[in-house]
Amino acid sequence: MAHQYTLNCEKIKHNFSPGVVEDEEQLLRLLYVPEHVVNDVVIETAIPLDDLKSRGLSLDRMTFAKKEIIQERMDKQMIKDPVKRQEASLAKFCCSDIRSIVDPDTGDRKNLVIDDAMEANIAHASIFSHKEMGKGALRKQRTVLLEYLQDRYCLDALFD
Amino acid sequence: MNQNEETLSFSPINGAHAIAEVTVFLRFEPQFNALTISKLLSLEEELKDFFPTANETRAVQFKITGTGEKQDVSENVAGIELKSMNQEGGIDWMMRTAENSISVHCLNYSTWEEVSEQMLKCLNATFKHLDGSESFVSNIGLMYVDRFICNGDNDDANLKDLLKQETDWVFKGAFKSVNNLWHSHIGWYEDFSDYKLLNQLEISSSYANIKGEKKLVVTADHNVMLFREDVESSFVTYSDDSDNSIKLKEYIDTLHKMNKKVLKELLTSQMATLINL
Amino acid sequence: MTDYYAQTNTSMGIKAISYSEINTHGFDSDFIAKTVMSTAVAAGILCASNPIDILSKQEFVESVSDNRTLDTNRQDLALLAKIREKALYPDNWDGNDAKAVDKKTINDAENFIRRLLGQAYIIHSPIISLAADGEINFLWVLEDFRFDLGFYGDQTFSYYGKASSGQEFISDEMDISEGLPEAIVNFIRK
Repeated sequence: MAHQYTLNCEKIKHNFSPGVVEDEEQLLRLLYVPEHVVNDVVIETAIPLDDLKSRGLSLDRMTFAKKEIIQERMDKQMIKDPVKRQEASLAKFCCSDIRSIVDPDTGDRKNLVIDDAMEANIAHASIFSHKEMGKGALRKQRTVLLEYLQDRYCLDALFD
Repeated sequence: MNQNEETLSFSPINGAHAIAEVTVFLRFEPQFNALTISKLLSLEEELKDFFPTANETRAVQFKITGTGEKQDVSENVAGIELKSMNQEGGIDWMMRTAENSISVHCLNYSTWEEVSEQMLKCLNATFKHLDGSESFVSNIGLMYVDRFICNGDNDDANLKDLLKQETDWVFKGAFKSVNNLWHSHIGWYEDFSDYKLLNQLEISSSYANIKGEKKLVVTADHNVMLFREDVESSFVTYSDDSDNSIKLKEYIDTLHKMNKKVLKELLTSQMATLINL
Repeated sequence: MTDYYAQTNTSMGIKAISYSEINTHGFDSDFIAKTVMSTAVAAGILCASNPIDILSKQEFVESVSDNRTLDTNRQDLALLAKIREKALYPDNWDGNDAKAVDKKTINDAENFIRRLLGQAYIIHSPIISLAADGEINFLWVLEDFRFDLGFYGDQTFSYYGKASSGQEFISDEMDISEGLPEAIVNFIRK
């Protein structure tokens, strides 16, 4: 079932949240390596269609993120082959880059960035597709989003 | 850690699957007479598009007396072997007729749907030559030869990566054999899907020359058979009508499902997943 | 070429010995027949008598497979192996509630690739990966074409692709039994 969020939801602050997600905020997306990074390029499966449609693509707001919380998630990743094990990486991009993606024909916004704070992680935010659409159109949308996930960092580089 | 093929010590010998050979066979009673055998030789011409290579097989028959003497020696044509070879010179498909059997062997497995369709085409092609003979189909069977090859060092092979320790189909000593070599031959009858089926399962662990390298290979050779006397309705006939075709397909589909059941009971869930069982 | 086999009838039943590839040694057929017969006689004499007829132990058919293996680099086998490997990923494989892939999704991906190889024979191999929502994804990143196609186990697939010319290809739902449009196949065919 598709999410029920609208543009107005971007202005709603959740419980536990330090505030709504501002356009100028830096956002982080934890990537699963090596499944979603091939030849040093982040590929489409880093953005599940179901996340855009209903679950929300999980992000951390860099301003409020805690290194140890992200580290804990990284440690849980079940890397399939320890020989190939690489340091999990984080894509960093600006919220305004995502919010400024529009339909070239209608000018309508394509993505919502919602404050999705949780008690265990107040920095949690999510990207949703603004409009309900079929899987083919969602694939096109994620191709555009993917361009913003190519700037990657290790955890220490961002938090030390 | 998420185990995958790279950490399991065995893998299916053909990468995506483990099937070295699957064969459907019909056994007949009484043996074919000379007329039926000669009729079957015309399969060479009829099936040459699929089997470009053919050769006759001859039988030398004799009796041994109580004193070790040979008597009644005779030599005659016993059947025919038709083959489809691949570019490397190996057999992809083979069909063999003998004095009391017809078998169709596939050594380049794709899917059961495709392979069984080809097998049925081959068997149906024989029926017009069998019609009128006094031989009847006494049993129908399917033989699967599955092979699993040790990845990496043979000494690091761990049978528990391949076979369930609690399986009924291999003896416990196999998991303890100090040099990883062992064999197990068993047979049993099982009620399955309205039929009583004979299962014969030979599993062994031995060294083989695989692409020039000495590798530990575990082979599971599973025969599943259905006998005429165990089928209440009419068995396989030589009619080319759709009823007979449907019945034949039902029988071999049942045998195929029995094989899948046995393999699921034998293999670990990870290995069963790797071959999409 | 002719194959020979000899058959003995002893108290253990019928035993057969076969001898093939005779012509490779240039021996005449009479010599071969005698050799085969002698072997069969020896086997018959050496067989101990065994009055117990073990029905479940009857021999039925002989395998013709040897140590030959198929070429695991053959495109269909290599791609199927990669698809099947994804099925090993358990629930929560990414530590963030990722779904294990469904068997129906595996079957859809396999049926698609078999059909595609039947249609195109040899293709540029896609990158095969798993998304956290259970999608099996095929991605082609070619010089003049990027193509994203995926399966969710409902016997359909969807795709989006864009050529360097700007031409786009998009479908929300295609039945697995349908092939890809030829225009797309032309891009991914080798």
